[in-house]
Amino acid sequence: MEITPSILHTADLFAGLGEAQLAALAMVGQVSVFHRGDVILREGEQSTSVYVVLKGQVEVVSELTENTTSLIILGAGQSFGEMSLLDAGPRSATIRCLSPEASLLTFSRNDLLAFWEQESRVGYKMLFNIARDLAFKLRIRNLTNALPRGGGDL
Amino acid sequence: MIYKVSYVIVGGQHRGMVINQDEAPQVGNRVELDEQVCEIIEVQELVPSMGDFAYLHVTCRPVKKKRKPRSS
Repeated sequence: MEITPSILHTADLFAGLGEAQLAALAMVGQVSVFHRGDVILREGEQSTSVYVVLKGQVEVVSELTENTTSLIILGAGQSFGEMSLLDAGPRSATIRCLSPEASLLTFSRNDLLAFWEQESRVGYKMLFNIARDLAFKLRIRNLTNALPRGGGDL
Repeated sequence: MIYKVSYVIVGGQHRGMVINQDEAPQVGNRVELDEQVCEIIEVQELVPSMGDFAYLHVTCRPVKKKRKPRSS
């Protein structure tokens, strides 16, 4: 899959970046293709890459309890792995490929930090976008927790 | 405009989904989420739009089970 600025433009991680900046970023990342059931990253492991879903769907799975719980599906344009990018901590959830095939753009933490060191305006915008996305996820969680459960009508 | 949409299905029996799409979701539209056909019953602006992105939260209800094709 060829990475073009127009594809990256649809992912909010890259919001506010120009075509030249997107083209440079495409050179830093790597495209990986996964198939249904593939584990992309596992809860608790030490890895620090960040991923952007270019095509297909992945599911976020919690293995904290004995029962594995599938939490949410992430489709095109969504990023994940940013928590470990920021704090270098263990993965907070497992990510599995849900669709027959999914294409992801992967950035290693070291490569991305080195790029941001050179292109500080890009780094500022992407970090702002990551913070905004984390805030979005927190708001969704708050709203979802407030939803009625057990099949009742709204 | 690119719409970053969080979909949830009432009842808590299905997973939600987050996806970026180029068409705005509308109340009454049907969407397929987690192999479940759903009707959109509420569209809420989660936070104000910024640049090319709008941030929406959509609540759906299941309308029918998706049938698997019968093998002959």
